[in-house]
Amino acid sequence: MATEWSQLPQDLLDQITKKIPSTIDLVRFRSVCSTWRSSITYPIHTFPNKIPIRPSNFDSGLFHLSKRLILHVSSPSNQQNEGWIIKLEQDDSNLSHLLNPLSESKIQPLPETFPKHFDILNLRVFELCQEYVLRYADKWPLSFAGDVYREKVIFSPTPPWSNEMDYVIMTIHVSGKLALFRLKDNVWSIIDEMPNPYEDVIHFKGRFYAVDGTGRAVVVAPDLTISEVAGPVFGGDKKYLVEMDGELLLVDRYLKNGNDDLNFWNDNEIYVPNDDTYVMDTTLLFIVYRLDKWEKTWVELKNLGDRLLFLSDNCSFCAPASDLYGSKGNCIYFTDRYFQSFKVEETAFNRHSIGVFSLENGSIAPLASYAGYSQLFWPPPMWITATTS
Amino acid sequence: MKDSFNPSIEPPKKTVTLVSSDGYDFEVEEEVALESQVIKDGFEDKAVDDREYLLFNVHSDTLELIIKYCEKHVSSRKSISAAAASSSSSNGEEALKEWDEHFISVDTNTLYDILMAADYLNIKSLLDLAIQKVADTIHGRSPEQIRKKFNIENDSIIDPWASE
Repeated sequence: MATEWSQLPQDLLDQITKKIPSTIDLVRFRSVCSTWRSSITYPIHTFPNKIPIRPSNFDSGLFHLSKRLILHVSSPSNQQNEGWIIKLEQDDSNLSHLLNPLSESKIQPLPETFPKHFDILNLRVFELCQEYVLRYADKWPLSFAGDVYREKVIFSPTPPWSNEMDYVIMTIHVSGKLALFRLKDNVWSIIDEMPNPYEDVIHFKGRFYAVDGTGRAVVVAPDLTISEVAGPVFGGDKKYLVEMDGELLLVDRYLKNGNDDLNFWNDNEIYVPNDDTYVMDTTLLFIVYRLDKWEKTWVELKNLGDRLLFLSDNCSFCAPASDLYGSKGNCIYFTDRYFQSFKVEETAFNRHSIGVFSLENGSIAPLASYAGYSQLFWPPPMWITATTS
Repeated sequence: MKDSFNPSIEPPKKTVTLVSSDGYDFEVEEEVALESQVIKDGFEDKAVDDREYLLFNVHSDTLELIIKYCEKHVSSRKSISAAAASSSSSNGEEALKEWDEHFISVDTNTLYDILMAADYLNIKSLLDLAIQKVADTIHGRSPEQIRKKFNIENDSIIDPWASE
């Protein structure tokens, strides 16, 4: 009997698309045939690319919550899986913009060799991370600098935080306290309990976690009570939460003391020495811990094996080096605004450059100094720029 | 000694007859047939000697699979609750999950037949299983690969990125 997948009834198509969490899979689902295409609207329903928020308890005007995707794209015909890591954000007219994968900055202008129509649908695409940002509505889309909350925003697609009628987002308030917004109530709720200001939040295994500057980590219950999941480690200067293979990691970043060098920093301009790359080496090292949930402590992890960690202000994620051609495991990629490159051909990408820390030998250096590694981010691979349309 | 489980005092199993679209009779235990919400609805109102169901939309090949699924689920539920009653440890749920996974690992034509039959007979857990399998099959594939996998012709000439 011939099967008619393209003629599936609407209610079954609905049920299928509800089980597809990845935006990119939904976009591809939609482009299979006309029936599947008309079964879901675009932008896609699971989470809108941009939703308006006008909280009733803060006189702060209208916000938009936007979603961005961090993807690894590679050519289906390329045996080596030589790929490129990109961050995509859609604007009001559904145009996608390319951003530096680890920061907020838009990559602009694109090289002249870049294709006018960049169709990722038929590329091999692997979704690394989804991130969310809050913005004032009136700044959109004129400038990407209009973010009110610089902090990361987290969102859970599943109950108890979200269902078809409601969702909850969590971020860190300017006071350092945790702030949750529930659509149904249309208010921000601030959790007052805070021994130390929080530094990072993560959605991990369906639950909301947060960590403060000492490394003390908590989990937030739907009734907004918090309970400690790990005690402090103190140590370094900035804490990040990352998920790796179903485990929760704490990454502690140590910065160089005494920032006298900051005198050079003036209005985003840096004193330029007679060198192409100027490194104010402020990040010294990282220490990685994994959560021992029974002992409620962080246990130092000396080796990440094949895994790579990517740290940024809006999302942190993990990927296997074996999936990213030209990368090496046991490393941490991060952004450091003190890494600046002044090579003319890199200007589109230089605002917040990327550094690499190796857990193997403790070395730390700007990405640009590793010939092979930098190709993951910039410039775009030849197979993209060579196919100009 | 647990004499309450003595099989000799159990009444004989009641059965119903399911007739496939191509005319084959399948005699199954009542509780197996009742996995289908469609059969369950109004089951009590039907006379005992009239418990025959003509399933015009389900081919015998598919019906055989559906019955196999329902029998497995009925018997697993019994052993899981028996283990829970005697508070002995059981990995019944895990084992059933594994069985399900194996059961649904079929070619896309069979998957389509199971999906449509589960929808028609309204067997919720099987429908969910089949839907999840379709979603998993789509994951990570390009539209061209999806079309190939599901044997779908590309009838769209419009730009897939464009909004409606």
